[in-house]
Amino acid sequence: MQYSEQHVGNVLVVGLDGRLDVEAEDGLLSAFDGWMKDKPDIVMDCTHLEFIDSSGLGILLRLLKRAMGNDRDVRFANINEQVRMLFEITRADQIFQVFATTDDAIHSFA
Amino acid sequence: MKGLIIIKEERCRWLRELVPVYHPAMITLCNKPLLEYLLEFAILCGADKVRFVFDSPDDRIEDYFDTGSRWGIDISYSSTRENDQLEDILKKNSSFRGEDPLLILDGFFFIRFDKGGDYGALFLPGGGGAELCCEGGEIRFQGESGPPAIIKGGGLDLSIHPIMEIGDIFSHSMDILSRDAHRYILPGYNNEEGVYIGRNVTLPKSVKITRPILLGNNVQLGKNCEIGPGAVIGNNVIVDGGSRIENSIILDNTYIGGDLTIKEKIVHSNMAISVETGNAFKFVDQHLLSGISNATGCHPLKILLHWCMALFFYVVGVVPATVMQFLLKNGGNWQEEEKSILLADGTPFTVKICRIRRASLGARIASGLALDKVVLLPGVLSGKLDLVGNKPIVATSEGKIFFDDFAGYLPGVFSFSEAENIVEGNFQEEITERFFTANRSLVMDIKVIFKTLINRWQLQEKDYADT
Repeated sequence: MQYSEQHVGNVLVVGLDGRLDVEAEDGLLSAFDGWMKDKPDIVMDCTHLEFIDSSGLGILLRLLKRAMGNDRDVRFANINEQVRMLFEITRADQIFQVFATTDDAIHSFA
Repeated sequence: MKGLIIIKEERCRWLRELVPVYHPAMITLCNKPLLEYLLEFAILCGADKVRFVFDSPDDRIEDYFDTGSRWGIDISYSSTRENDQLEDILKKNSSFRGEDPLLILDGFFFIRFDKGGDYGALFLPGGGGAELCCEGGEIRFQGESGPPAIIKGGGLDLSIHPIMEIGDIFSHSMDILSRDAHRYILPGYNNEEGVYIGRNVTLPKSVKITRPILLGNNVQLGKNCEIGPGAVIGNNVIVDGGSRIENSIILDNTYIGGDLTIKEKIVHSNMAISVETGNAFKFVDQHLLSGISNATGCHPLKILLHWCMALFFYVVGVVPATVMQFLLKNGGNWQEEEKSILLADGTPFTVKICRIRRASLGARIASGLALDKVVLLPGVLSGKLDLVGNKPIVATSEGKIFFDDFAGYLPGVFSFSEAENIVEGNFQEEITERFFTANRSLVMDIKVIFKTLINRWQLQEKDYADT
């Protein structure tokens, strides 16, 4: 899995690219710790997130927990149908805030 | 009158791609195949001999309808080529028709009729009303002479609806369930309006049912499930505890994991189809959605093979296990505990549970070879335990509650959750065990044994790395 980073004010927009499964765990968690040094709010841009399974969902929950531990939040934008369906079925959509576009997600922090 | 029901692949190929295990004609609306609705309509119209014509014949259709004796008529089967027109089909089936009038249902559509209706007027000359045709096909009638003509509805409460997308299957099913159930013969017992329940349904008290719902045969619902409104659950379906199913169709042989919400979806095996968008996704997480390959899981061959394997393991392992037990016990690396566990029939049974603390090389080897399991093998040989089964439930009051809600529980020496390295007591363990019960097969059992042994050796390596 690859990530792109873009700062918009105090919001860090992270582009997730590839497959989010158990193999992405170590890389994403350590990258997340690096991002949290400046304590930004985070928007995960899922435009290029091809696939997520329940391990990936577990990783996202851990990221959210870590962010909330720092008084920050992680929000999601541009999720595809597969990710949306997984969120819906597992009720993760009640935990994560999901927005249609990255701009909507960024503005939600205002 | 005779009936000809023609379903050509070009009209329903889209459905085959979404639900490949069903012939499109056998897709169920409220747990009843679409083709059966068409057949019942033909019978209501007076057909006593019906022929099914497909360009992609399927044995499962013949298995289901057989000779038609269940409906009190004669059913026969014929095939056609993809490019054949109605004229060609009629020529090929002219000997079936003979000189009798012929009702022709040609296409992939649903007919909204009423089982109590009298449709004799449809075939009277000079009938009026809207033609019974739609984008998905048409209903024709060929009298004793002349070409087949599209029938007119004649002001009867009768309509024909195309099935062009998955949303059509969903909406027809929901219409039948919520509004038109009285019009058709639906499978299941119906003591209360809007509630249809099949045979052998496990329904714990904590399940919340909101009408209308239709449950098929051999449905197991876990505790605290919320079913309905608008839930159609097929045959051989397991829904694990805490899941909610609302305005959705769960097709046959499907396992739904615990604590999930299925809303406005059609689910089959590990495929979830959104009714709203028509998009379908295959879930890779077998603990969320998966197919059920063997719900009964009690094949005599499997029992014999388990017994033989247990005997083999016992003969090979009893001496090393006794020696290692003697050697390791002194160092405290072999611990034994007598526990009362529940057998498959719910009776308590006392077994010796051994644990090996991997603190020495000998203990690691004994654990890697699963010598701690050897003491349980006599239980398999005496038929009380299975070689591969569920993690035994301890016979406590809490365990008994869990047992009551766990259909198909069969305690085993090796368990799927151990093979999958699920942490003991974790909620995942409960889900995993139920998943195993729903999906177990001989191949899976063998996999569990090997995976458990491999895991144990991998743990050894981890232990070394930790030290």
